Amino acid sequence: MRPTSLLLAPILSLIALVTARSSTGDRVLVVLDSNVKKNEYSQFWESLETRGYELTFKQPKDKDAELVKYGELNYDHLVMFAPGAKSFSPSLSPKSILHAQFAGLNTIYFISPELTESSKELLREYDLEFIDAGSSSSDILIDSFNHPLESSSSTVALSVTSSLVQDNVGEILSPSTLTGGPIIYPNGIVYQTGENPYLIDILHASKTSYIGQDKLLSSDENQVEQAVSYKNNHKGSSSSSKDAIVNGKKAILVSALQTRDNVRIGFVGSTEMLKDTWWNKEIKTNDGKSVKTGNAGFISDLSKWVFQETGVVKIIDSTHYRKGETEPRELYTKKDEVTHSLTLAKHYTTANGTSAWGPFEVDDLQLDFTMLDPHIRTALKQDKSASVAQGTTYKAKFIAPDRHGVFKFVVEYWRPGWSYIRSSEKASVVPLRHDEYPRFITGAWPYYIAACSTSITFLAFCALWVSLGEGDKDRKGKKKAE
Amino acid sequence: MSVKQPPSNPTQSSAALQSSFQTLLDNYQTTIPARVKLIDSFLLFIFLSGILQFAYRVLVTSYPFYAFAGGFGSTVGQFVLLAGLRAQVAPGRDGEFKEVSQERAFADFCAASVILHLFAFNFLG
Repeated sequence: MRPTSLLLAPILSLIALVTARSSTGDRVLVVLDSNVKKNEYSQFWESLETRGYELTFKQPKDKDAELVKYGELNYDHLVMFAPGAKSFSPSLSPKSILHAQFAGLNTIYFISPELTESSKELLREYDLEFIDAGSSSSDILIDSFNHPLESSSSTVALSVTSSLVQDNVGEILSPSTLTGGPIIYPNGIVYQTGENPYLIDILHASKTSYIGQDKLLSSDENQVEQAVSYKNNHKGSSSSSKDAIVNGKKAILVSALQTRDNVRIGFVGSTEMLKDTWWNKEIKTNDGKSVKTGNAGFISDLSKWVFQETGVVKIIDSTHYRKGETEPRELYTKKDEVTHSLTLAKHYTTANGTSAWGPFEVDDLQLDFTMLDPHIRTALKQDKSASVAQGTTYKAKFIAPDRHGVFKFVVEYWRPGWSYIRSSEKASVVPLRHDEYPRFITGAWPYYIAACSTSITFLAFCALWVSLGEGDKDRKGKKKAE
Repeated sequence: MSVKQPPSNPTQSSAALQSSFQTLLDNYQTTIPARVKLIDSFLLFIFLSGILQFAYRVLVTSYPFYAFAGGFGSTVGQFVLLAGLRAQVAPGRDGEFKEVSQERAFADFCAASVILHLFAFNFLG
């Protein structure tokens, strides 16, 4: 017994290592541009591998990089690391990527200022709008006040407190990232997110940053002057041009998107922020302090979210029943007391690196009982008495409306950063059957009594009439004789 | 009955009214046969029952209207039938209903009442 367990232990730990933490799958395709040096990002690849992903590296022009084969996804996740690629093999074209995303492929796009026009066009599909720089296409984010001491101002250090979107983004970012060191954003592009409600902004530019070209600041003063005056003139000549000046919160650097099918897509505006140079490294800030960068934590958090490790919620069980019963019915009679119960579970990663489901506790879940319009909208309250091993049960009790027809129990929960939860179950509400009505109506009792009393009195009257008649006979006879 | 003289003062008039009621009651008790008195008491009962039902319908609820129609219809119908019977058997009506004997009138009344009650119970629901 003992030797076998000793043998088993390492095997089990190995299994734990290779088991994916993602709730969907662990096959990752990395599309690397040929001019990107893979070794410069070794820590990022390593972090993905230790989390249990199988990485497959391909080049944009590789013909054998098929995302979907025979209608099945070949990979669960995609890392697009080829912003400068001018042409793609047909299987990696923007169209086939979009197609694969409809089939459930999670994607992270790492983009950079050398983004080609065709790639921009693809990203516009997601409602990302790039600042049209006009003459200079390689405009990047620059901040002269916040950058690591040894680096130029194009390597922007973003403070986590002012640049990360702090609230309402579910579990995209872990608390340690939200309070950690600055995020280094070197040579990064800036874009705007549109009205698309499925887009979530994650990282935006700082107040002191602007969009421009790094070389101006490193050249001598005259040149700078010249360039600035040129820019001003240029602006003056086309003052009514659509050049939008974006900065601060409107200038988005990292964002994410989650479709209705819970496919997740991330957009990171700088490829260099993954470099080993910034991965968990100490940097010196302008005021001479030495701090650790938050890049590793930030990128890990984002990739965990995109690869369906965090913020994933699923419906375990959903049922409805009448008071005193446990099984769902197809038909409910009007004014029945109906209970709808829903069990939700949140995905998490256990300490030994395996995938698990646990309780998901929120207080803003609601149930609609709809027939075209919601006839009843009520809160689903957490039911602590119903103990489920993995998950949280929510219950709502209500009286079925006095409205006959086919109804649906609809639960929709759509919060940024969390999986889109939608549950819909059909049930009919019918009137009472002919033999289910009450035999006597309480309000009608006076009428019942009146009718019965009239009949009884009638019978009594008849009896009295006859008996009186017998006693009266003589008198009547007399009367008649008279 | 003789017509009273118009009263000269209130106390006298109330006393006169009282005495006239007394005569009315005495006359009713002595001259009206027992069967007609029976009819009259039944009529009074039905009259009160009908008033109560209508008050209930107006003040409380008219929701099961068919039940109201049954109950109220039963009282109204019974009242009409009774009034008819009274007209045929009360003294002094011999001239008008010469051919109709008391037994015949009672039998008609009974048959009509039974049919009426059947209808009323159907309406009650």
